[in-house]
Amino acid sequence: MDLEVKQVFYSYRDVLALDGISFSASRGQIVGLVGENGAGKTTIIKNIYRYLTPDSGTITLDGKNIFSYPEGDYPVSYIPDVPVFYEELSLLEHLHFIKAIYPQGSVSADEIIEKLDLREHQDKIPAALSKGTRQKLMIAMALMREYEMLIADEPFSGLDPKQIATLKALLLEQKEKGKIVLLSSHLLDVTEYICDQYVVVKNGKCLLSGSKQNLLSATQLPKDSTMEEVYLRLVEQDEVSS
Amino acid sequence: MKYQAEILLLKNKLRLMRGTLRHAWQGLIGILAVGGMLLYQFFFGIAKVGYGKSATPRGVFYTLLLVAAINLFRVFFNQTPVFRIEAASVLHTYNTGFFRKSLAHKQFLSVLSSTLVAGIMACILSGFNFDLVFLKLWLILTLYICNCTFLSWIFYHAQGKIRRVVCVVFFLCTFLLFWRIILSAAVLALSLCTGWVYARRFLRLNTPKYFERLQGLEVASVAASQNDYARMQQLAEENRPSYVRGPMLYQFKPTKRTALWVKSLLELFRMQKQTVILLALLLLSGWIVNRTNLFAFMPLLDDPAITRVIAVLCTTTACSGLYQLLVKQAKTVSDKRKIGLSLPYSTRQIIVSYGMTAILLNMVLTLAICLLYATFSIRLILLFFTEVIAYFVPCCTQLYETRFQRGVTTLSNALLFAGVYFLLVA
Repeated sequence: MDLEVKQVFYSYRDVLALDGISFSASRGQIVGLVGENGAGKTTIIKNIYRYLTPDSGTITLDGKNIFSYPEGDYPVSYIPDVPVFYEELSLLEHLHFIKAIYPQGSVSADEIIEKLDLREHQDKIPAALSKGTRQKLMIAMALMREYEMLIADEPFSGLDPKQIATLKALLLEQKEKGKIVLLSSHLLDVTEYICDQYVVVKNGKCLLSGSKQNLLSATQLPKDSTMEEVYLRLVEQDEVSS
Repeated sequence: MKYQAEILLLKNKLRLMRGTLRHAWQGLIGILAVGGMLLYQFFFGIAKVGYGKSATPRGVFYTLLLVAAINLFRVFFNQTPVFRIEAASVLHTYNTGFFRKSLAHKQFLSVLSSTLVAGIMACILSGFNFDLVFLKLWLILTLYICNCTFLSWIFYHAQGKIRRVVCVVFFLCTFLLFWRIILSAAVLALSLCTGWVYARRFLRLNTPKYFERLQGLEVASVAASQNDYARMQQLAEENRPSYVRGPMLYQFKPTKRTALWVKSLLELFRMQKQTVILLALLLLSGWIVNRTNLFAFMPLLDDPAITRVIAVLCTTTACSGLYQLLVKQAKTVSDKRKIGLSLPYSTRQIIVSYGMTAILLNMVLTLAICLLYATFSIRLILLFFTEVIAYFVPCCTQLYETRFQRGVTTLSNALLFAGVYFLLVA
């Protein structure tokens, strides 16, 4: 199963947010969506998650237009950048809610609680949780669904180093299971060691996409350069050419 | 378990409601009382309805006009979506049947509540006679309100051509509401069915807009339910303009001794326009009820004994509201020390600095009340002192965080009421 975004345009009224963006992602890959604020990363994610409908262009999953999937059969799970909860339900009740909505998911509430070390917080409401634990709950809710593609929008924000390591391991586990993982993040040093492919976005366009090796050769940087250096070079080249 | 998701959502809603009721029951009772009084005045005072006595044609016309005006606002100007589910439900259930089912559930509930509201209105307008006139009115009102609900939903999400169609349909429906023949009901029913099918089958939701709005609404309701004043304050701040006009602190060349006092003065100048208007309206409405005959045609409001008490209540509420704001400002400064802001002032100095502004304001307020009611006597000095006490006592108890804060505030309000009563009535 592959994701293919082909020549997608999207405007918020008069503001062009996506300017014919194209890229693809394959199963068993973690694809990093990188770019500055306002580059269009979240708009791409919202289009893939069907929150928005492209003005033109197509998005296909396994060769099938994403809008042709019936409700309840769209195999995409999403971790948003801002956690949103039912403010009066406890952590455990949130997980039971997700289980009730997605009964086909193979992970139980108990398993995910153990996995993410949430046991001591299970009876707390979201307002009583720390930022990192709230983020972990969001991740737990996303992982409990049945999905083929996981979209994570800034999932590392608010997490401490230990939690970041746990999340990285979880994302790698998804990759091992053959899922597509689309990861949008500002933290290039964190994504560097887990992403197989990168899509560099600027002004709603894809500047370049490919593995780190491809990006290194395109930017003519030494092999030991970091992703941050690659990204800065790409942006610089784009500014010079435009 | 079957319906577990629905049960959990209901649990969430009930807990939120419990919190809101626990913390804001006085306000809710006030709103219900004022709403009930206004409706009573409208139907039984203006439309001249009674048991067995239906409303006059003019009364019915005014009622329909009111219904049309409210719905005009609902369809075109209301920024709140008519069918509201939890923002978390949009996020976690968006691509599932549960999301559509939740929306359909809300639509069904909305139709039920519209039917109920229309039924009560038709019942009152027909003088509690359950005849054909009542049935026709009920049917047309129900269909009209339901139509407007769906039009509002479509207008909220759609753009361009669809919005223009909504405009045309709304004005057609309003025309049919006033025409009130059986054909009107048939056309309204047809329009409702079309709107419903369109909303369910073809309308593409503006999900990001809907989601963001729901999030905003929820933050406010959760803050109210959890009595989270900091969050409510934050919401108010977020809705304020991001720049300030008028005098700036540096223009007053503040010293350590005067800085807090100048700050309190500036906070007063920069008070939100809506708050000032609301307080002025309260003062003015008391005066209008008591000193003019504008509302004398309404039952109870023709009795001077009652209107005087209303005037005293309005004046007391305005003063008390203002003091609460002033105390809150002083408390915010005091609290900032606890979260780490290094302010070289003791609690006593904060109370004195803010108190100076309060005393100045009380002088202006006392003079304004005396001018408004044209009552100049030695009693105004007494009013001034009660105002000063009504500000300082709760201010000290709150800043020193003593016990019985609520009791002290209630007593201060009672004292203020007595002071105003002594000036205006006794």
